[in-house]
Amino acid sequence: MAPSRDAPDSGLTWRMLATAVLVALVYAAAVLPAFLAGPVWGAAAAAAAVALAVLSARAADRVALYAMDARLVTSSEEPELHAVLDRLCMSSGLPKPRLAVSALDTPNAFAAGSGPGSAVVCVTGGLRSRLEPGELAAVLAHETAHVANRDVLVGAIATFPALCAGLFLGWWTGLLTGRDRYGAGRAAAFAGGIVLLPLGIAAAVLYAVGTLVGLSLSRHRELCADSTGALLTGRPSDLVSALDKISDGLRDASRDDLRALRPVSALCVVGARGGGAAGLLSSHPPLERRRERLSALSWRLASGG
Amino acid sequence: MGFLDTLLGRSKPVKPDLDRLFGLSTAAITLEAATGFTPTGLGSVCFRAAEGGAFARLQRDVQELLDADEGPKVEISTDSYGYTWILNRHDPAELPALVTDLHAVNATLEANGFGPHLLVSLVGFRGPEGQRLALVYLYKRGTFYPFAPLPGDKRDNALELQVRGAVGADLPFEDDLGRWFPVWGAPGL
Repeated sequence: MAPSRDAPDSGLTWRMLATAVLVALVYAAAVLPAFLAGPVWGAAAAAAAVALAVLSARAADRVALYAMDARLVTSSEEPELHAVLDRLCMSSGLPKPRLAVSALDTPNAFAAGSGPGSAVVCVTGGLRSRLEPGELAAVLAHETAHVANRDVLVGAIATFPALCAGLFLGWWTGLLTGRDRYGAGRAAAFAGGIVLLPLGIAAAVLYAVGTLVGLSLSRHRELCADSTGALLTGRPSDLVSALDKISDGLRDASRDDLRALRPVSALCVVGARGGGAAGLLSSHPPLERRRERLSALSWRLASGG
Repeated sequence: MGFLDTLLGRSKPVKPDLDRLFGLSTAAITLEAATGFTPTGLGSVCFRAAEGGAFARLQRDVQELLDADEGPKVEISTDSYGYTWILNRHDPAELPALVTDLHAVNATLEANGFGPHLLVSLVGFRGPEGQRLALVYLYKRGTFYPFAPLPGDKRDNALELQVRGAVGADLPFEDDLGRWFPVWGAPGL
């Protein structure tokens, strides 16, 4: 059997579909109140939600690069990295993403941009100093897989309702606590907050559910990118050893470096917060699980398909 | 890529067409008439060796297959990025034989399921003043592009465009100049 770029895995496919349905439900929940006000308002709210989701995905790459203190590099500045990326693009058939390097000493990498046309792949200085060339290629392949699968766009769309609900929650709790308001204004704000109580509760629920669904989707996409990337290089073991080194590096990383990573954590090859308590609250699957799936791939390649 | 594939995080590979390699024989004649470049008789296939025993066995099979005919033996080397190059040598006048060998290597790897690991195949040419040129076949896209290195890691872009002008009609050329990936130091160049 020919290994294809997508590892056939019906279980994963079904879970992904289920998650997609959940995301759709979250969106429906977000626009539903507007429909109660009338179909025109409802349609307007739905259109606004979609437009904002696309806009946020478009701007995400610049935000991520800024957060990581990264800059774009040309092929004359970084010939080796570009050569690795060139070869990955040659074997994947993707257009070449832009390449950025961040000065951070924490080993990590991320991909941003809404699709293959406008993608950017970023590696940190710490990653380059810690990994062997083969492992670096494996990490870049994982990021290239994210680009091919349009994970950034999908992730941004999935978490957008939760983001909006979170913003609304912040504003609403501000009304209730009367922050920066005095006298009559404070009383009025409090009254307004009470009136908006049902909306506030709805936003809280939307925020919680949306975040959980978004994280669950992110974990699935990570597993997909792992197998796509590993098949692209043909060397799952390289990715396993790279993941091990990166999580070791993250464990030793300074608090400041981790804080710098947090805004882009979901996009990174290994989540900045690490496994810790919460399978459900993590944007990445546990290392054990990823290692298991990659060894299964390794075994498949070794046995000839 | 379909909507469902985007949703599920999959991407489908394009179906490659290896027979396009045979177009190189006619293209070489056109190229010589138009620019004076002649084949060097060297050609190579580049792929990423997958880990594990299956691929190592396959690599031996390919070498035996090519060593079986009377010609000079193939040379296998690994570059600094971990990619394997199989270099074929033929008499410069026997370009069709070289192309047949390159096709055989590609077809064997593909038939054994390692198509996704094939990168490029290339055939080397020399100009009247000794300029180096390769016509590179990008397996994943099924397209060709020229690569003309100059000393000091520079590319002769003018020559590359001139070559496209000369043989662009004979071969399916890569339209996207961003995908004319450099292959510095490739064996057979």
